[in-house]
Amino acid sequence: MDLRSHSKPIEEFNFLDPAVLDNPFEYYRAAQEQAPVYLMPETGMYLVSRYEDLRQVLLDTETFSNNLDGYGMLQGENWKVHQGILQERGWPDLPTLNFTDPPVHTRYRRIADSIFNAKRIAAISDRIEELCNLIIDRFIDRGECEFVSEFSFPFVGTIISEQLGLDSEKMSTFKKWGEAIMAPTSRVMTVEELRENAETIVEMQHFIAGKLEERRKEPRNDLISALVSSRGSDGEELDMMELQSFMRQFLSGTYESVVTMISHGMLILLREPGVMEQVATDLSRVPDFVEEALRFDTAVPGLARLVTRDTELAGVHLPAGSIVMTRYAAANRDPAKFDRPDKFDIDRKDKAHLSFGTGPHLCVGRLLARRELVIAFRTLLTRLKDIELARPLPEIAHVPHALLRPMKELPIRFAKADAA
Amino acid sequence: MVEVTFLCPDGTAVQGRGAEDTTLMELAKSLGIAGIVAECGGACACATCQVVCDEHWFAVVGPPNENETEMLEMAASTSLTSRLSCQIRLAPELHGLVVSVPEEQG
Ligand code: HEM
Ligand code: FES
Repeated sequence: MDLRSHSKPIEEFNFLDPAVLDNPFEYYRAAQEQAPVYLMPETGMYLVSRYEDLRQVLLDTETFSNNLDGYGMLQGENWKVHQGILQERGWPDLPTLNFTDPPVHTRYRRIADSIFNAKRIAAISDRIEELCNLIIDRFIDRGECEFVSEFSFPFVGTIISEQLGLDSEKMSTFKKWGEAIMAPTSRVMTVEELRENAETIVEMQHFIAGKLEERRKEPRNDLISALVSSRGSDGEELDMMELQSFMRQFLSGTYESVVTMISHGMLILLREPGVMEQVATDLSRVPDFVEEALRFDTAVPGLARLVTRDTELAGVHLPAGSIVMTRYAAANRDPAKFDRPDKFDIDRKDKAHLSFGTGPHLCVGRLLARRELVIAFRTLLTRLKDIELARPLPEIAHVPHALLRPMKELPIRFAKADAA
Repeated sequence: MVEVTFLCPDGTAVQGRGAEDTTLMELAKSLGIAGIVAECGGACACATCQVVCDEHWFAVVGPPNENETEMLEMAASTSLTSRLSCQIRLAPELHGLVVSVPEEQG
């Protein structure tokens, strides 16, 4: 055993314990030191926690497949109830993007890239900045706000609802949909809950179908118009079932992850000594701050892969059919990759975190997410100063969730920095 | 081994040798070339491993493949002789290759 290892035995942790999910970094270190590919008794999945092992998994799509039911994985047989309702009254789940492997994946991926690529994101940057200022206007005179619900959520929610053609006044509906998509991935639900959840998804699907038809007839300058008119390299447009599957991924991915990441960024500014000053006095450092925040506490700590054939990873035998949990958040704190991994350091040279994954499934929305994050912190640090926590956070600050990391709240106080 | 020179945006030239059949991106990463990000690890899914060839070398290296062309079309900025370095396999005829690394990727 490694003499430098001081971690508590891995068996003494329970991954699903809300306290461990809230502050998992000691658990990740224990896994890295004692069992880098660890069969978690609580979930039946193999946790991959070291950087190089995770990279290997993400790059080898033949052995580690995305062809799994990512939404229903926890629900077992009962998931059929959900499938049945969609089949009957909405559009059944069709695997695209994150639930397919190359070469099927490649066609979907190019279409998604054509919507979220650098040129398009550059074209909507001014609008993102404008919206950011409008959101801040709403609370700045009060000198305080609940940051998650008054900044992160409305900022991200307005951008994405505008871009996806959803009415931004209907933001609470939109929030409900995002939560319905992700709920089955967070815990085992009862049949009744699954039924109710499927009804919400069907409602969303009909709304989306209407919007898609509208844009097909009258395209606008938004991402959803680009989506309906996009064609794969085979020249074919996406059909309604495929479009529904795309929208479902866009709504779940965009909503929670960027909201959480902005909240984490603020939490880091409040907690890590010297960082607020370092960034506020030199706003050209905001992009470095954002990259380090992504590494330090990512909003999507882990997803899953299906093992397609008997294989070995870091000396551990993985039978075909096993599920591997790709723990990006752990890899980002691997001491074999990052010098002093638990230190928040915007001067860090190595910025190759895995928060957006790597390989063919590298996050499609990364350019949009980065742009939103950079604009948010540049604007916040221009307009607010003396930011501090308004009251202590709940003892468990995150909503317990195996794959995401939503914050319960983040109440802040501040002074106005701008003359206006 | 195939010898390659990377002309970096800061004006320096970095020389290295890569094994045949490895990619130009892998060589750039092993040399620590700052401008080659290669976020997708060579899956032709990020366009952050761009290099630019002069006309002579572009003729030798050849034009981008179909997937690569699509990725390049979506990148923020490219030139007519841009390639994605993860899509270039080192081969004997590339011995002496010179490429420049653009200021920005993505
Ligand atoms: C900071 C915010 C975000 C984080 C941390 C994040 C993280 C991730 C991660 C880890 C993956 C999976 C890579 C893999 O399978 O290994 C992913 C994939 C994906 N993300 Fe994001 N994401 C964020 C924002 C967004 C946004 C704004 C969108 C916009 C639509 C988005 C859309 C997607 C899609 C569609 C995929 C599937 C891509 C594929 O399988 O080809 N994400 N993201
Ligand atoms: S490394 Fe991503 S496209 Fe070359």
